[in-house]
Amino acid sequence: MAPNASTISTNLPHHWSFQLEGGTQGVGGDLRYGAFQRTSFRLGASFIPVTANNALSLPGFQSTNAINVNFYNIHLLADMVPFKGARGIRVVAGAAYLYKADGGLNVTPTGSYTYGSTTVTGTDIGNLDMNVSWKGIAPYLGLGLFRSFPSHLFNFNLDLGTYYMSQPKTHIIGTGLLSDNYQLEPQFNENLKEYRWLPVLQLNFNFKLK
Amino acid sequence: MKKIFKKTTLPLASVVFMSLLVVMTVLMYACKKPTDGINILVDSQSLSPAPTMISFVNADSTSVNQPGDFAVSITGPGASLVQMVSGGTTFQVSHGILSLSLVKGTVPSLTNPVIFTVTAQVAGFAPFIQNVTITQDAPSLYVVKALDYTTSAAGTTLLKSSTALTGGTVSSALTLTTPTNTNMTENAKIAFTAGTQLQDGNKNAINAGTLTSNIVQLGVGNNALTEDFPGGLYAADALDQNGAAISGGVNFVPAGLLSISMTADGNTVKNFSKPVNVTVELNSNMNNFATGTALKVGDALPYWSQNDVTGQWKYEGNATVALDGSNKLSVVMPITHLSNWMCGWFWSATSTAGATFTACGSNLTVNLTTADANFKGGNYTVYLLSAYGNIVASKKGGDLHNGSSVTFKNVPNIPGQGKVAVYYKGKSVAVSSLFATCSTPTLNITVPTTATAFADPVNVKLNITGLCNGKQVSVLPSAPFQLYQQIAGTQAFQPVGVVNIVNGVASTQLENNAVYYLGTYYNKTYYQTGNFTITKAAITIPPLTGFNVVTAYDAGSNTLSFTGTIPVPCN
Repeated sequence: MAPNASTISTNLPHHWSFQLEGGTQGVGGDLRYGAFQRTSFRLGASFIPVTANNALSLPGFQSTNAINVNFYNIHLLADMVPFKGARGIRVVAGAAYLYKADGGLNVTPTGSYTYGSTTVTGTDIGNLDMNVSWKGIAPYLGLGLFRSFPSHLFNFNLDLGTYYMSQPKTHIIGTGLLSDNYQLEPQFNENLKEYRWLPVLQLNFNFKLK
Repeated sequence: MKKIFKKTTLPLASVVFMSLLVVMTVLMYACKKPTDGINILVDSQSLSPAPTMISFVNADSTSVNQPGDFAVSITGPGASLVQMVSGGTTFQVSHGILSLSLVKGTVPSLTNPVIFTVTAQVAGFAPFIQNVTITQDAPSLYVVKALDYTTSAAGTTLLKSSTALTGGTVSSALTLTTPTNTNMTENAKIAFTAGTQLQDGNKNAINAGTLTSNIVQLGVGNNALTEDFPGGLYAADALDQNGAAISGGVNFVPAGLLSISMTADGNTVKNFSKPVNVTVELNSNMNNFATGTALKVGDALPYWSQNDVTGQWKYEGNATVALDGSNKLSVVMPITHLSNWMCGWFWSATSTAGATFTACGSNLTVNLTTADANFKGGNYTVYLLSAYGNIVASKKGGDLHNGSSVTFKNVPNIPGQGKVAVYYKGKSVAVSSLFATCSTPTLNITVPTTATAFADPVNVKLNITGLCNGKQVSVLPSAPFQLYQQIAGTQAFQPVGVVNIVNGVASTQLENNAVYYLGTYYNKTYYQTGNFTITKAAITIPPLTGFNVVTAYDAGSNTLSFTGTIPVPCN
């Protein structure tokens, strides 16, 4: 069913709505205000805590690993309708402050290694934490599909876009025999320096307040 | 509205949506995989505490005949705590280098030292013996001066002889006399009486027709008696005259030493059916360590024998100083077995019959300050001397640098006072004033810049990584690397020090325009760089034995950085 196709409102100004949202940037909520005829603003927050086990492999290094990703943001977005006759298409621009935006890879050795006549186990070897942070302000540009405000009580729409985050900073902490892995930070930084796009594919559920 | 929605809005949205996806996909594929080039670094320092390099070099520094590859034995009370620095207990020397460490978890200390002996029998050389005492988790270096059976080093003399036997018996009285030379003015005579039967290690008669003898005599010239003394001056597991262990070991102040090796038709001679009198001439300029006065006829001089398989010394008795046929001071030691015999004084941590004096029960730490705080040089030796110059004890240090220190355990209660001398590159570079040995726990000595400084130094930093083939793992090696320097005007190189790599990192200082190379034996493989000339610019070092090094020079800090890789097996 086309979303709310039969209950389209043509007047944006001074409408208020609240939306619950879920997508690639996590779950959250926005308060939307129709400031002008073809422009509305959204202020909201979203967060995503994700854990994935053994998503990466390090050939020759028997280990388990866990990836933890946490993106918490506060965002302010403007929805602009570029075509008067197509109110279901919005250009969305704005920015978010990523007050928590980090990824962590924890590597725990599991194998035993032979060093001469000495057997070294995972406990002796230690652990490795490889952390990445994108904390900071990230501009956003995207496209909104379907209308901003419901004509009646409820509608839903989509956001497609991307945040452009600050260049990530990495920090590697090793324990035991892995203590010197901080030396890998330059290489890790180099590998991740292009990882600045946070794509957003988000479904919004709008509830009209006014 | 529905019509507009379908024909205008949706196609445009679809186009933009697809474009966005394409852009995002391209962007994501442009990124590197997060683990690209990430090789997990594994430290090795804690797996090999107290790295100890034992460098075997010809006592004659000009000789091209150097000890090469051979197996060694590790014996003594701490033998079970010793491993090759890269693990394993197959003790093998490569290119004259033996890299040892203690096993993981061993914590040596002054009160709980790890004591062991390294021995080896190598054709063409007198038996190699080195006593090692480790009191801290720190790198250390021992240089074993190999006594060559082809040439004699300064301060030594060599006799090679071949004598006819009758059924393994010396048929008529025989005296073997070592020659003298400018650095060795005393000789030794080994006198067999007629009918002496040669025997093997089990005292079985050897039936042979020819006796081949290699006899090296060490004298006081060129400090040979202390520098080349087999095993070192401290014997932790020495035995008394009854064969019982002397608690705390003994420290020797040698007056003369003979390393005697004999074979009869290829069979090793270890015993004689009759005592063989060995007469050792003594340097007339020598002081009696016990009295502090000039050595004279009638003085008592203890004498000892050494087992060249275990390195263990045994107190055999006292000899009396007398004049020999050449009117020189000498002692006679009646021996019944081989191979090393030594006459000299000794002191002990505990009261032992024959000991000149006992120990204070306290330690002496000698802290060294280099006038040039950035100086980093080769190995050094600290001697503890009696007031009248006898060497009472010695400690070999690692690399000399600001903050180097050595500790003498159980210093002797020397009547009067003692002093300390620091030797670097074979020369005395600093001497303390006299001090009371029993009430001086620490001594601070400054080594002057003139004694250490290079004419034109270059700081050198090393980063060495062991690459595990086919694995995303690298080992940061912890091992001593021997540094060799080309002898000016020759093509020959000599070891000038050790660079201790700890978790892949080390720093040192080298001489501009001098030629060096580095080598080590690690993970059952000998690694050696090509020869390189130190310059104040990046240099090219030809790869050898898989040891690849690239360099970079930073003029601001006058630092030449070496970044090297070696292939290592990783299991």
